[in-house]
Amino acid sequence: MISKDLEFRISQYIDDDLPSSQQAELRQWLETDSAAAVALEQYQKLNRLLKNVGPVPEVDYSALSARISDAVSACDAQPQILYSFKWVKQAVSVAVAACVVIAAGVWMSSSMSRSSRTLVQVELPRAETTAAPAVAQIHIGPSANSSSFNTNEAMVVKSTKLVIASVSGNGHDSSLPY
Amino acid sequence: MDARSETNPSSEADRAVSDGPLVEQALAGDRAAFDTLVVRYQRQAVAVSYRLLGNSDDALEVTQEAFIKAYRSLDTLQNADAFGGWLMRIVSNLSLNFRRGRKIRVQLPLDDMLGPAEAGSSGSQWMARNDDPATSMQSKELGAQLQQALEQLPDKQRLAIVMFTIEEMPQKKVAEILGISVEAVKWHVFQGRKRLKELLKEHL
Repeated sequence: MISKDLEFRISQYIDDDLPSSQQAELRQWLETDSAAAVALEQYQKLNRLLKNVGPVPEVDYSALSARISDAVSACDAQPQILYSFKWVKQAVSVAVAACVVIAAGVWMSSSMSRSSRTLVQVELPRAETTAAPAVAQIHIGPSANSSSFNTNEAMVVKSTKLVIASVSGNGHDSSLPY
Repeated sequence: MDARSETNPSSEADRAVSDGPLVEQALAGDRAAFDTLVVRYQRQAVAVSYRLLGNSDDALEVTQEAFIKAYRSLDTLQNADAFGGWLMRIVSNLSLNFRRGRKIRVQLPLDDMLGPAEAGSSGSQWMARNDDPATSMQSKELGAQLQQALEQLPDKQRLAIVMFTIEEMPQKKVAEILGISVEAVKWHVFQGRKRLKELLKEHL
């Protein structure tokens, strides 16, 4: 078993592609490493095999070049047509792209306006009311009589009146210690 | 007939003008300039395609297809002087696609372009040119096994082996065709060899 690096150097060696300094080093190595020597022999044999695969079949190259020339002439008549087709293809591509963009825009705007028109019903908790008469009224905030206290109701929004209503029964929670 | 003597792509006359000006002239509508490029590269195109496909008819079809494709997209070639590498990339891509699909069976019969030994035959003829029947049989078998082994390699390794080891193209050119570095070409060649050594160990 020889290392991949050594095999790679052997491969370069048979191509005469190894720097001379490395060639000497490799030769020394091959003298002591029999596995490497066998690998070199196999690579050389493979190389000979590949280089002697035989010639390419005889071809009448005059006839081939004439045929290619005819084929090229045949497509030579088409460039103008191909050119205009090229323009048509480009125009169609641009038109299709524009249609896609417009369709996407229309779809997005319609979906946005649809979503803005959607009605959402929200049930808010109702204020607790009682039919019982008020037992006390507490005013919160500045006295109605006080003119010196300046408040901005627009900024501070809060209820200014708390109504304590009476309830039926004693309203006492017996679980409480007081 | 020795086709090599008739339209040798490397002949001095052909090489008098480099690829760049010929590409420019072809782009300007000079068909003769493109024909010169065809003559210059058809042999290499057929060879690479044949090594990848193992079939001369298919190789000729792919070569023709590659030149047509190159002509049609000549205006996309950024470096006119790199025409050869660019064409070989088209040839190798088409060959690999052809192998995968075996679908470009169109156009005209191509038997008339093959030499007498090849006309009417198809499939791998590698190493089958020995007159001794026993050796010929052995060579045919080995050739077929070698081709099968090559077909098992990943595309980059197969292309590197075919172009560099079999067709003996310079590493730099192979790198250009494959769009990789020279070091990567060396590595792919090595990896391909290593795999082939395993696949063909009984013959080595």
